[in-house]
Amino acid sequence: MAQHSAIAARTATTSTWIAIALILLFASIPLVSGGSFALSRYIVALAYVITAIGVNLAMGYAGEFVLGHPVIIGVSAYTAGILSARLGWSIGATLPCAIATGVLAGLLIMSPGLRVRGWYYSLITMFAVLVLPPVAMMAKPWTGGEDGLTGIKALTLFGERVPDWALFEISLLVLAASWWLTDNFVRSGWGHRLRALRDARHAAESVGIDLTHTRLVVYVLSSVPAAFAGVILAYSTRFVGADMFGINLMLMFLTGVVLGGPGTRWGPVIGMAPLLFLSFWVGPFSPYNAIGLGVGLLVGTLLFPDGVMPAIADALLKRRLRQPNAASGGNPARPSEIAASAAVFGEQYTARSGGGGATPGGHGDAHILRASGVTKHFGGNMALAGVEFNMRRGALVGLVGPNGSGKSTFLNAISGFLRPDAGSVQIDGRNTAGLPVHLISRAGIGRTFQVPQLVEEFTAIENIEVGLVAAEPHAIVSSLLQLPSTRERARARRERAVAAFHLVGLPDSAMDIPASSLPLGLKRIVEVGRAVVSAPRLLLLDEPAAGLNDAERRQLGQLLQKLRDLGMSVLVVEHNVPFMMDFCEELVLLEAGQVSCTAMLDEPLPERLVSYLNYKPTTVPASGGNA
Amino acid sequence: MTFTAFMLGVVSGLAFASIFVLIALSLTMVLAASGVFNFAQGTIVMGGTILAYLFAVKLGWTPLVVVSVILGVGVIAGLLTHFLSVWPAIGRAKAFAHTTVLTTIGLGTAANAVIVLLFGGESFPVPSFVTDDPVRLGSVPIRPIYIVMVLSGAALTLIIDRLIRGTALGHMFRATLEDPEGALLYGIDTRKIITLSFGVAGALSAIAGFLVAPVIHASAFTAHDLAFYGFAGMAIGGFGSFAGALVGGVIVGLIYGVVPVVLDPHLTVPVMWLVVVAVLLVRPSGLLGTAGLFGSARLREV
Repeated sequence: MAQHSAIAARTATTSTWIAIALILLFASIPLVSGGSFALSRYIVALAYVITAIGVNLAMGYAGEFVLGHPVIIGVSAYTAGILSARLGWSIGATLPCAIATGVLAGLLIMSPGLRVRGWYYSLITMFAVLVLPPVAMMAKPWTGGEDGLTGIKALTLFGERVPDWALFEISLLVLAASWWLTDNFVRSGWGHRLRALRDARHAAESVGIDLTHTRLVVYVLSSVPAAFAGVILAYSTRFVGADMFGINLMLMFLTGVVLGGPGTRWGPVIGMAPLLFLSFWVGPFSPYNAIGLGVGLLVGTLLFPDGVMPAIADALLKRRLRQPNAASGGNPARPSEIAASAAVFGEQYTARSGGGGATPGGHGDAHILRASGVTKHFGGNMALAGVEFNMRRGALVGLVGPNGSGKSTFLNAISGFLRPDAGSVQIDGRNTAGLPVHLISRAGIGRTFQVPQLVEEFTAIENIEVGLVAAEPHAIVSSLLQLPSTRERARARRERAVAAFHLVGLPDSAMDIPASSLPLGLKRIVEVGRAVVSAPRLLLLDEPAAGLNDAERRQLGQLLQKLRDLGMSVLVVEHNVPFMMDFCEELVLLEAGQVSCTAMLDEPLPERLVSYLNYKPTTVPASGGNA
Repeated sequence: MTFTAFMLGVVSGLAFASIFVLIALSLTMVLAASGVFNFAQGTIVMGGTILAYLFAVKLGWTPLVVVSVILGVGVIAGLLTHFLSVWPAIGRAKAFAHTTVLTTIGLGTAANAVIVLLFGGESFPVPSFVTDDPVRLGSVPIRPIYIVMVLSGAALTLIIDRLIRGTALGHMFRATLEDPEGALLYGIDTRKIITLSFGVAGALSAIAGFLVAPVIHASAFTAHDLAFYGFAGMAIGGFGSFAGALVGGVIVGLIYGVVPVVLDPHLTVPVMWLVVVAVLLVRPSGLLGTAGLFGSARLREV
């Protein structure tokens, strides 16, 4: 079962050793390389790779396609250069100032990402590269204008001038540190947040992840390596000119990261290497360099849509998995395992929901959800026309209604994806109407989506873990350094995710394979797992049974009842009438944006509901088809 | 700064605006039909300026011949962009819009560099095809080429508008712009329409280059700036809306004309970038854009 992850772990260890060996190999370059000219070119190359690591963090892991990093390098290099050449400051003062201005520039460039998405965003950040040169021209007394900034003092540390070889080793150290810290970061809970931001934005919000905050963290962390690169460039070449930070440099980062494989640990290094060779060979300002970069980007994007590294990794992994017993088929979780995990989960659940559990009255309110007069227009279409609906704590309620009656709109309105035009929503006694999704989620709501929103490269377990990270402390520094507290959190997270994995009844064989290769039915269950792992008080399910076969549907229904027995209140939207009749205890009929009828299923059904359902218990088999 | 100087800025701004509108229109047309932001459009405009120099100055052809040849080259350049960078990505890429931005950036940059190799890095003046004696409007002297630019820009915009609104082909085109999948269901061969949009946009961009050549000179290094101005016009005005391209192009032109007079020539690009960012932060879909892309009911995320 753990074969995939075992291979992945082994590969990761091997590749860490390769990284260490490479660093040591490169560290010995000054011993064999003559001339400070060659060394200074190597230092430039190191600075570019350092930047690419930051680009990869934003572009690859977080899916924020930002191209403005040359500006960050430029601002930082000018800051360090000006403070050194014009004011005579030493590295101890120029370094923090340069990092600060570089990061500020990065935040300014990337800020449109808080509102604008996709390639639109890429172009805005890309055209920021056109902004720096004219600004540098205007500030000629400081920057030297077209002539560039000269007179930067040689780097001194502890009163000694730092020789070129030492600067090279320092740059290599910065590179190794950037690589290591980034790698730690994306393997911590932040890696879950970043990938969820990239692949499953709505799901991320629905489990309480604050997207704006996550983006800002990404922007800052992605800018820091570029800012360091700027300082390195300023002290290495001791000259700063505006044309060093142009479109071609942007193109090098873009091509390097895209070609190497965005969102992989080796991608930026592998992708940048050939481009750096090309740039050294023909010169960075040569048209041949631009042709090489442009054609590389064009052909690379078409041939390797995911980059070179994933292509290699795929090939390697496939070969190793093609051993006997690799695919063990679907052996569902054993009943005893499920019972055990339900016990574990139940304990956590009661602990987390403040001892509330199944007993009503966390806030002295018998209703987990109170919606009153909830209204939502789309243009002239009134999707919700004043929904009045109270849901008892600990109930398993089905929401039915014809297409377009506003069921999904209602779910979206209470979970915050749509802001109601009017009306009030109270969850567990708290007024939540108008709050952003992630705050409503933290009030105790979990939900799933009609089209499952999963991080495709994550395994089922990791996807379930996404549901837990929002409640963890941010602990950015701890995550970067992989301190014991971060490892402890990862262990606890894994434990609870495994409990939820068994609780929702996912088969063991699904544990370790990427979500992209799971069938639709299991993807839905993984979504349920992600929604319940944080022990929400109210669970909203949007058509969970669509596309499931009879057996899967029955399992799902039993799962919902089990969750209800653990004390969760469950509201499920579904078209499948037998499913609803078999498993819910109460049905609510939504028609034309209003609740037209509510009925307990252990009592005779009202006329209205019967005519909608057209349900005759005696003639329809329990495992019938769609209504 | 006198009133006359300011008005000079406004006048030259309006002249440039008519060019930026053309670039924004060609970007919009391709974007609407295919969902592709064609970064190489700036390269085609730059190519137009260089062909204007080669044909009119080096070879001494008459303006009419120059215009028709440039139109033809523009169509070919647009089609080449399509077949090299967009067509291979159809059906292959997971995120089509995203992939094609990368491929057109790659193609555009490589093409720029090839032109630098062939044409050299210098910038050559291109004489205007009309007299250079200024026409006076009150105290403001106006270069006749500016009038030509505004008139041709307006005429071309009108022609495109008539073509799209008035002809059967135009109706198919509009159906594709509004809703490519719906158009497909009506039996419209949207691939042909997409190819066509690249051709027409290429011609429009090349002619924009021809018109602007006398005022910005022929140089291989203008492509990025021109692409930026077109993008800024489209972004400020609003996605895929033709009215938006008009409004945005005019705003960008006025910034381009007035900022150097009022503030500093170096501030043109920075101010324009800040305006784009400010507009998008307040209205992510631009001034005239709607939430659904291209005014369609369908939400197409870009």
